[in-house]
Amino acid sequence: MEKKPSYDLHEEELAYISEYLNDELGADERSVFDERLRDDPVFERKVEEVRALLVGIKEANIAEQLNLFHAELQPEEAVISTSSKPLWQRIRWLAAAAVLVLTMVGLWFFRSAQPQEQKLFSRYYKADPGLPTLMGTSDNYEFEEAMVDYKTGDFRKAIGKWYPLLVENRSNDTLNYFIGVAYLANSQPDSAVVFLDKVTAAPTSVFQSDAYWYKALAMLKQGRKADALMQLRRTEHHAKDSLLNDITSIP
Amino acid sequence: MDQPAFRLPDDSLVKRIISDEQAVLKQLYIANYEALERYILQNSGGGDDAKDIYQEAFLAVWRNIQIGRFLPRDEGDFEAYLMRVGKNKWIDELRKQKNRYMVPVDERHESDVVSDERGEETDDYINAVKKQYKHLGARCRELLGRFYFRKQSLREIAAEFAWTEASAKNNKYRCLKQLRELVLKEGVK
Repeated sequence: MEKKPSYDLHEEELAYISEYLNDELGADERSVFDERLRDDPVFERKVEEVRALLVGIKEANIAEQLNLFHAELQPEEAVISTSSKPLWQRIRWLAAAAVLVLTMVGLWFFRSAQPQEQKLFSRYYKADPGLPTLMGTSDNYEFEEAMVDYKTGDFRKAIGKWYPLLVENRSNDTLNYFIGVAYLANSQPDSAVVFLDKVTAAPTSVFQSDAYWYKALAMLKQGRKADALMQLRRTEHHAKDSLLNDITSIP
Repeated sequence: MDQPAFRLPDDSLVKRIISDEQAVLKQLYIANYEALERYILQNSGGGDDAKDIYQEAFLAVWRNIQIGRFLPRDEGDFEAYLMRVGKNKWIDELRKQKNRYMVPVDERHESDVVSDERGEETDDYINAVKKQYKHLGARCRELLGRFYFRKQSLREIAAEFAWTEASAKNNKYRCLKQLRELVLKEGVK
């Protein structure tokens, strides 16, 4: 395809080609189209251009989804899903146990690699207490049910219930905030950061200051001292100055 | 542009990826992350590097399937290709960071390098579309995303926006046209 096409592509033709590529044409229309595609090189170039246009649209959309997929990564899922290796399935409990041991060894190794940051994290981290639940007949029934799970320490279950609600309200700050802090409470700082990012990006959110605080803690847990400091400067949390001091005195 | 010259069975992995079945994409994303992450962590990278490189590689593989440059026979094929693209991307990244440890490089990047000029033009065009998509109005983005990515019908979209089906259709073409004009105005690379 050329940088500045030598052909005109009118709206009707753009529509027609996009319908072909999106499989919207009937069999007869399709064969007429195919025939023209074979015989007309200029038309072929137009089709190539529209194909790239549609692929670009889809790619822009899928790129936005990747962080949501990423937030669902769980160590055990990622390692055990080895569909092409049936042997693993036969000994899956053994495999699961091995994964658990490896994960714990990995965690121990990771922790011992950044002892100062970890110590600070443990000293300052206190899970968000959550919102009061009324368990009334409101539309928020599912949200509140998950909040009960969260408060009873079943963070995975809470995330599992909150997450589908995001589909309709992707930018909802309350949902993003609680999914983020639930991930952090579940020792998944990478996922926590993904969701808390969306809250800190919304300047009017009542959760903004707390989101900065927990994001700073998540980054500390990841061993990202410098990034944690940047987040911390934006929170209004009462322990802000104390933690700032402590982080900057890490050698 | 290269494209599959034959019709694929409806349940093939390629067909499901081409039609952007979210469940399939998510499953492939989740199933293959750990292998590349392990490689990157073992080769002087961190968790953020792993995520960025993996996402870049995942999109590159997705695109190559969409335009028929790569047709995986099954999940194993997909996984092997994704790993190759991801490793190559990480090696390139390490090369850029000269002061850091280098991994030995003994393989050519045959997997995600496009040999012909036409393929490069296609990539440039798609990149330009992705870039200009952000400058499109929010309503157009929403409409095109729902129709082409989430595969909602015009009827569903019309209901959502309180339009008639005919005006949903017209608006969709208007948005496509607008996006194309942005791409051509800004120039493809």
